[in-house]
Amino acid sequence: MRRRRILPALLSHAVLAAGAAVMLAPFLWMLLTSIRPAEEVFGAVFNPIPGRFAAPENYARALTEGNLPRAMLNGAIVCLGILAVQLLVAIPAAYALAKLRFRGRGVLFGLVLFGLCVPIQVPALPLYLALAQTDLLDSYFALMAPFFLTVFGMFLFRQFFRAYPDEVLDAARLDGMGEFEIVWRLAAPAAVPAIAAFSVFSVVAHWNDLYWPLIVVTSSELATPPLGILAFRDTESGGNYGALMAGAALVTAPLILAFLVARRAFLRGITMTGLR
Amino acid sequence: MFTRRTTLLAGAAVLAAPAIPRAQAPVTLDVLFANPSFARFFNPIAEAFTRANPDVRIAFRQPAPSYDDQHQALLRGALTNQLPDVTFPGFNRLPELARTLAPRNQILDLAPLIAEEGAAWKGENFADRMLALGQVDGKQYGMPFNASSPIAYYNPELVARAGGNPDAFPTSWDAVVALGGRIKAAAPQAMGVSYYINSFDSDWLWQALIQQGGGRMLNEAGNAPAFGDAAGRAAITLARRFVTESGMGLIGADQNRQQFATGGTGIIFDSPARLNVITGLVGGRFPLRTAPYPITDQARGGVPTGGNAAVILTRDAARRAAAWRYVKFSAGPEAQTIAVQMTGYLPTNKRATAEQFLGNWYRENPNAQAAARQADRSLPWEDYGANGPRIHRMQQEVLTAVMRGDIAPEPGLERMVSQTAQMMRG
Repeated sequence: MRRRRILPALLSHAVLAAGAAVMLAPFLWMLLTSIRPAEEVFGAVFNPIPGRFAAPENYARALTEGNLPRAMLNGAIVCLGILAVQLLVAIPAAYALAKLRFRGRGVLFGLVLFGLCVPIQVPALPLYLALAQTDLLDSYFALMAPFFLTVFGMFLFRQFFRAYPDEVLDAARLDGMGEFEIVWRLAAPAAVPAIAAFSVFSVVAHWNDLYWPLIVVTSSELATPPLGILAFRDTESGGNYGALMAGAALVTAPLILAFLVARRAFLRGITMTGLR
Repeated sequence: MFTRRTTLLAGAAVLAAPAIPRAQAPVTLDVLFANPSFARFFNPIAEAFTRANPDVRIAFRQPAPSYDDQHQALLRGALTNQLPDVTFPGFNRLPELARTLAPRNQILDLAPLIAEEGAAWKGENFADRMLALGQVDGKQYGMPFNASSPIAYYNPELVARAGGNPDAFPTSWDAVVALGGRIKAAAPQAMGVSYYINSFDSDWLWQALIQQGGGRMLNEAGNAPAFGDAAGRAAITLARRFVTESGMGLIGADQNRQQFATGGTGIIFDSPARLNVITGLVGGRFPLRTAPYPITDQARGGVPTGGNAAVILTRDAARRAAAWRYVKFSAGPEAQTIAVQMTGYLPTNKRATAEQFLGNWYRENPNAQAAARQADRSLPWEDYGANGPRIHRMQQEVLTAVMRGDIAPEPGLERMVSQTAQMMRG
């Protein structure tokens, strides 16, 4: 009896473990490469334990040769700035779309869905020219501004708020709460899983974004993490693979830590909003 | 006598007085270069320059990932007035850049500035052939800064196993192909020669194969392909022979460098700028050696020069003066010594090879000599214009098909010539 239940469980875990191995292998490779000296990066036979442990020199080069610490600080400023404005705007907007009745709601929601279909490359040129005209290129604002309004966030939160019981809202209104108070004191706290899920999506996307920073940033003081890693990779003279992987490991670490912290809420947010 | 001296002193003081605050007003030059790893010589050169010129500070922009990204950033900057004061475009991008910026008065002709320094200065620092690399339409827009032409890297142990002499690298392509065949026979799991024009990130190595045979990619006017001649036929036949006779496999450029570094390839051809990186990858596996690129046509043959030139874009007179001092310093022997030692590039300044600069270093690093020994073979890296990257991709596809054996070499060459002509027209 017991055996019969163990076998499918074993099977499903084997499938999941295989998937995890495929996903994690590149990261493992990154960590292994980051601790080996240049002459051992490409060997005829692969030895997981490097003959000479080069982690100190690779990580020291990653931290000192480029501007990686500064780039990571910039990444934090930009990601948190974007996230704060996104939440501030998207939560009330999503609440209105989900729970308030007003003319044009359907059209507005249609526009949100439409916005989901437009990639950043489409408005990039007008955005760039406008930033150039207003002399705002090469600033934190230029890095953040195009992402302040997030249709994805509005959509995600709307799906979440729709499941929120109307009775609670009505009771709150009877008690004299204003709509903004309802948003921030009732709806938003209930939406923490969705907020956590959205935050992971948003931070990961903007932390790793190379396209937009490459266009608007010219001074190295404003470089974001991907620009910081580029210092170790180029096609002209070949890269320093050890330092490149050490830099990549350093840049990935905060994301992995953030995900581990928000993991529970993240998974709940994904399952509750019906997003896959 | 006494009075005359005091008057002179007073006069000198008066003359000097306004000069002091002007010299102290610091200028910050906004500089953009491509390839982030170049920071390892751009930074020390900027420090040395500022030590000698305390009134000028160099502020580097975030380096562009590649010459093409830099080119796009410059074209964007031209539209929005965000151009840097000084930049270092790749030689093959310089013509298009200069022709775009010159009508907008956004690029400076350096010829008058060079003339001001005097013919003697010019003569003792620069070879005419080197300066020509920075010229577009007869104007000296760029000051050559980094220069490189392809060299051979070889594994002397594999060469010796094949019965070759590691101290005498072949100087003809027939001998290279034959040696590659013998290496393949002696070490069947290895590739004898790999000449990876099928995966190289530009058409540089393909141009080299044509130019060494005395051919040119373009006609004199630069408006039509000219490689459909005997030199072109010899080059494309050679490309196929690397596969059929020297055991070359069609793998990626990076994979080629990696396989060579692990001892799996006898001979490769690549940029001397990669010398330090390839030396690092090889480590102590085998005593890496380099050799000059074989040249078939001794009269007209040469090698295309990669690298970049310093270009002044600022329109402000004071910044132009400061920028010229920086550009002059960058092309000077001291800066060239730094750049050459950090990479393996060949110096663009004649004086840099002198004893007090690179003389001793070349003796200690014989592998760096291969590039320097062919410096007088430098030819321009020919440019097809705006469609260049697309033309390169098309040529690479045809070359791959020829090397794989899907198309015979001569029809392949004909197809490349006709499609290149078509794509150059627009």
